[in-house]
Amino acid sequence: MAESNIGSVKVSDEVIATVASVAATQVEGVAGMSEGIVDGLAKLITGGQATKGIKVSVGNEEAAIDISIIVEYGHPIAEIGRKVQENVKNAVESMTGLRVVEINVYIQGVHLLEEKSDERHERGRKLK
Amino acid sequence: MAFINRFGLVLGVLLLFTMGSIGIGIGFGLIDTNLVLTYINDPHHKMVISQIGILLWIIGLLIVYTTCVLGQEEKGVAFQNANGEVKVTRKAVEDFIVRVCSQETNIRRTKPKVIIKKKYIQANLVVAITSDIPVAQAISNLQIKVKESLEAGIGMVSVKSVRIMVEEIFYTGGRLRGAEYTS
Repeated sequence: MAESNIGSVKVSDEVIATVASVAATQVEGVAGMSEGIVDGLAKLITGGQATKGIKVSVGNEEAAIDISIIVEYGHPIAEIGRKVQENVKNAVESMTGLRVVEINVYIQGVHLLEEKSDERHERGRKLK
Repeated sequence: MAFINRFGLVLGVLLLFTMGSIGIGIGFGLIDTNLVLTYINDPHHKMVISQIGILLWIIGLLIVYTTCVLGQEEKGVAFQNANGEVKVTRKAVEDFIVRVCSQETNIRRTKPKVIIKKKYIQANLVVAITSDIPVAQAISNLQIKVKESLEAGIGMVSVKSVRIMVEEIFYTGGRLRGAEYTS
């Protein structure tokens, strides 16, 4: 929460989660965010837009973020994780002014790109 | 570590049998308690008994350490760095193995189970293969590919072993169930 002469500015957890989510998915090799059971239930109960695969803990000037992602097959997994950490840290710090002290990345699955296109084809066929 | 665990199991069973035998012996009057007490009260024997006791304690601690600390199964492969932690979950590792195997034309189906320990990972695969090439050669190639791909793809991880069991072989004219080959 940033204090100034005319009041305070507080960035909500959801905004930070959205920024983190966008930054994470921009990294090459990230297939998407992974929605856990907890996220799914939260979305069902609240009916709100629980940001998929992101958990944010925000203090006055610091934040810690846990991100669950699915990666694309063919990219070095640990390297993707490291790049996600850097990208999310830079994005959140530059956009919110908060200091990100910890980013934990959980890689929950590995997807093949062909699978995605196959799924789309399947969906297309069903719609027809 | 497996040797220590097996040794500990044998030692534990032997100790239990010994204690049980002593109890039965004393209970049924087969062991002369006065003789036992005289033996124990001898200063020289006391020293030997205490040394055996210390040795058993050390072995016990070693077994506890290897099973509880080194042998503990992890939920994923974790790497620490300045920004936090990157953890590749067991499911992701298993997914990865399925993808690696799906690149092989003679592997029809893969069911992996990964055991993740602090210092290494072990992959157990159940596969269905085609009969295009000899089973032994196909499995040997797959073992090498899975090991190398895991080490390169996940990074900073040591693959201790890749165990493969062939549960099914597909022939061009049909399929043969129950043919097993373990490597």
